[in-house]
Amino acid sequence: MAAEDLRESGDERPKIIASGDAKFVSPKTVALYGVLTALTAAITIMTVIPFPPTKGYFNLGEAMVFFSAFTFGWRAGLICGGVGSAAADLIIGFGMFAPTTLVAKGAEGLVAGVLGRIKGGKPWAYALGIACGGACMVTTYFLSEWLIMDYAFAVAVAEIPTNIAQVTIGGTVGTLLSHAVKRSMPSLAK
Amino acid sequence: MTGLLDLYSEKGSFLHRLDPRVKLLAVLLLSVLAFMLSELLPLVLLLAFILLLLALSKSSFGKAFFALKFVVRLMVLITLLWPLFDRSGTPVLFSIGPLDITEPAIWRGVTSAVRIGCFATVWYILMFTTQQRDLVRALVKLGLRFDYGLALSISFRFIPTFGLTIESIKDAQRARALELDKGSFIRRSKNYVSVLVPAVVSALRTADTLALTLQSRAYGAFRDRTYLREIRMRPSDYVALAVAVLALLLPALAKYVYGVPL
Repeated sequence: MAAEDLRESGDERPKIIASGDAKFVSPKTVALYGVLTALTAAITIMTVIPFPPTKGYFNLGEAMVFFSAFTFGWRAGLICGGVGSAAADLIIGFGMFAPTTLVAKGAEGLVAGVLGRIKGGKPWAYALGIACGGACMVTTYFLSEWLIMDYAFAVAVAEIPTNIAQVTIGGTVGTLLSHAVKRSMPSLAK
Repeated sequence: MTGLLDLYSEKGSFLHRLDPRVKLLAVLLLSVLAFMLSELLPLVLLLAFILLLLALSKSSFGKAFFALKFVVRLMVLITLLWPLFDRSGTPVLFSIGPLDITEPAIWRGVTSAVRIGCFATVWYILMFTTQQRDLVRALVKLGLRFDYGLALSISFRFIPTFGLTIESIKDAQRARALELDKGSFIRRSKNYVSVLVPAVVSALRTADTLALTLQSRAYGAFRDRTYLREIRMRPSDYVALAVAVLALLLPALAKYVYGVPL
């Protein structure tokens, strides 16, 4: 049962079911997006790792954004990455970052999902997706902190290395995760 | 940690009774207001107003303390760092090596910190007084498609569940001698893969069951949906909406039309 069901939700395009003239996203997609979003938020909150070079912390939420994008396509990356990370911000009390996060991580998931799945996910495509998606995320945070939140320019610049480290590690872990999960659930691999 | 996964606390303040759409809009309007103001005094007044609202929301002391700790830390950091990197302005107070600490830069730092305080605390009004499901309802009423609204409700519902799942997987893997708190950050991140894989697999199984559940409850069978709980604007909601809009409009008018320095 499980194998057939998940193969459909692994499609890039959410299935639209129609009843009469009303159209809905199929229950499989709704459940998948809901669960991936929750998992992104939960992992963002639960996996905090100290990063000694800048005495900051980073989390592995990024890994889930890349995992969703690589495994389920850009729509999942956009929705689950953006909404899940923004929800995590709201829940742990960084509501001020939620709108920025929605845009930054959403864009990251979208770009990684589009580029990372070129030719069915070659290693160079993953690397390209991580690099370009990560660049979107880092730039959005930098611009928002500098221009909107009015951090000092230097403070906003100082955040960049932490963010780059987060993308690099998140991207690596996300790719490993995508492979490992596809191996243990062969129905996901195409 | 999972105990703090919801900032909401069940109290009976007027902010709790307010329509969630109005609260969401008010938070956005006040954020724009904080972005617009550039003088210290109006920003301090705004921060005081926001803190007053927070006090009126009767939220529990523990949660307020937990939340404000982050804000205060950020504000102190910004206040200290602005003068170090901004060397403009004339009255140089003192120099440390190549750094000149100037008076305008210090005020600039304080202003910036107060503005960030406003940005951060204004969201707590929403999060302290609104249940997550009301937030989703408000978004659906504001035009979010209900199927995406449902996905959002599902995700809010499952965040604490997955938090607990991850916690127990961590314990299980630690019992098998996985080290998550030792070694370099790269080593730790790699070790987390063996926590994340079971978490993701179990979550995908949950999604599978959930899809069946949705189907068996006739999700999407009828075009005209009805809702168990409707949210309706009451007169007091309109008053609050008007106050929020005026709070942005009047200062904007004063600043951009009459040139009052705000």
